[in-house]
Amino acid sequence: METLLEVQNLTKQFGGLLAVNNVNFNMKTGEILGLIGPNGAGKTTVFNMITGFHAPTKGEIRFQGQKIVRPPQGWTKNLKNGTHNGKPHKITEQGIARTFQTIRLFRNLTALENIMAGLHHRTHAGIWEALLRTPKQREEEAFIVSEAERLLNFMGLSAYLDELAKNLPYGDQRRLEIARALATAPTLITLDEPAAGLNGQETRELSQLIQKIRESGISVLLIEHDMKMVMGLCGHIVVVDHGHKIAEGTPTEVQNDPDVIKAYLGEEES
Amino acid sequence: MSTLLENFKNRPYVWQGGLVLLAILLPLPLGNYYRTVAWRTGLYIMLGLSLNIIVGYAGLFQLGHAAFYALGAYTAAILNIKLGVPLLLTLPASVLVAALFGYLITRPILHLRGDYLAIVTIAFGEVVRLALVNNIFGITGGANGLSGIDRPVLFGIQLRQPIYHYYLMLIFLLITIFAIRRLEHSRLGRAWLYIREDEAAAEAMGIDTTHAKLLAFVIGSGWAGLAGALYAAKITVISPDLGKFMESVIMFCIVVLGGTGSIPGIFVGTLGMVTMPELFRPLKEWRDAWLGITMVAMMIARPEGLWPSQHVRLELESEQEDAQIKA
Repeated sequence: METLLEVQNLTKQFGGLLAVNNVNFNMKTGEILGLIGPNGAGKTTVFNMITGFHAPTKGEIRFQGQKIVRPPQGWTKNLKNGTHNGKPHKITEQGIARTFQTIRLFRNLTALENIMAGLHHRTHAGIWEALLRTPKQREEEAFIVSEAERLLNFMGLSAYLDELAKNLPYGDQRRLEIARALATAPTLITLDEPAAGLNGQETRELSQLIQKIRESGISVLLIEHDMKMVMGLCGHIVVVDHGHKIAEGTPTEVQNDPDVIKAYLGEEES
Repeated sequence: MSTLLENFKNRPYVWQGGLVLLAILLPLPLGNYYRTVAWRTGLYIMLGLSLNIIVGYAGLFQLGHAAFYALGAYTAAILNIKLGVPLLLTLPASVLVAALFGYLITRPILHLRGDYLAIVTIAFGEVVRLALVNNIFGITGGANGLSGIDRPVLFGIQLRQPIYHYYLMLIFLLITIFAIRRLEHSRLGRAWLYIREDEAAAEAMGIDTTHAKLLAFVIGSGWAGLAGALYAAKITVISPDLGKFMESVIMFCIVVLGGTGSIPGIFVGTLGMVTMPELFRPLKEWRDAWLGITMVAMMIARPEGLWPSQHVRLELESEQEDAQIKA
């Protein structure tokens, strides 16, 4: 299988804090890769660099053999919350979709409208088409709605078509967020702790869903705390702790790795 | 009552047509003074609608909107006076010049948010006004402004009477509302909605947020330029006062008090901020007090505005719920 994502010497420094230090791993097309580690290990930072929300201090990320285009560091640094420092929409266009650790749906819009957001970069109508309502524009609008409905069905959320996102049950909000990411037609979907806050039953359903996504030809990069879920789903696991990669391999290899046991038991002690 | 409302909802053309008819008939029984008041109302509705694209749809602060209104008026005036271009033909140029300045001015500051953006837009508004006062390039006439703008001529009729200008304004106002409604329900309109809801999430969905925000500024500024040119066409004398900060504040209040993001809200806001104070002109000393008191009362009783858009109302409710949870 060919390599889909290459992470090379990835380093991120926030002031005096070295959040991610020289992390390397490769991901193959069609696999489900699990990125695990104790709290504060730097998982989400790696994730944010892959999706363009942070620019790496050092190192590079290659996607489908091409270096991901990144704006110069610090260029659009915003004063207030300093979060996005790049052009994440470009990365989404290149085929990497993401979800957020804390659900970030458009809460006051309907489930359908939420998914329609993902179709934005796949369509093109601009001001003039909107003003003149050209046949092409109307065709495109119809496509956006039908494609969004298809994804709602795929995720089993069609009952919520016209319901505001904030009124959905928690587990369904998680699924809606995944549906929204799928709407961008990604080659790689990156999920940041999708099982957080879900009960056992919901987690099992989510695992099936992730399998279903993989079967539809989309590779999955998964950050997760739920060990059972990761061990069951992922064929390939990368473990990070304190910003370093401490282990990599199959679930069995990782489970028996002394460094991994130490990192996790150390967390339990405190 | 509710069935009556339902009937109206199901047949929007009935009440929309009724409103247009009302707007057409409105000036007929009125005298010239009230016709001018009606024209002014239309002018500020247009300015409010243009600012609403920026503030209401894209959710950005713009406290220097009057600068683009002034730029549109000056473009029309300069082209007309110095180059003899008929006034109605200067309208496209006014839109383009205001839109171009909207682009140049906002491009470097788009990544600022909230209060920072508000301060910078105030500053830019003042820069434009002062440039006009200082007779930049020797073409703006300094503090006195420009006078002697030709009356516009349409189908051989010289538009001199207020009623002609009222109808000219009405035509452009209808075009504006039509265009804005179409934008609202388009891919671009949704992009603005997503950005207002959650900018980071919108970006993660592949929406070029910088581009969408820039478009809001460019369209909004250009449309304010058109309003400026229509002002120049009626008043024929313009001064840098068009771009003064108080004008920007009035436009901003029309949007916020009327109902951010809502077209009917802009109408209500204009009636409160422009028409009422104009009609009560005899009570001159009380006008500013009325504005102040209304603003304070509104912010306490109805922060979402008098006739808010559904989305903005929901957003405010969510924010309040969040605040309650945190407290």
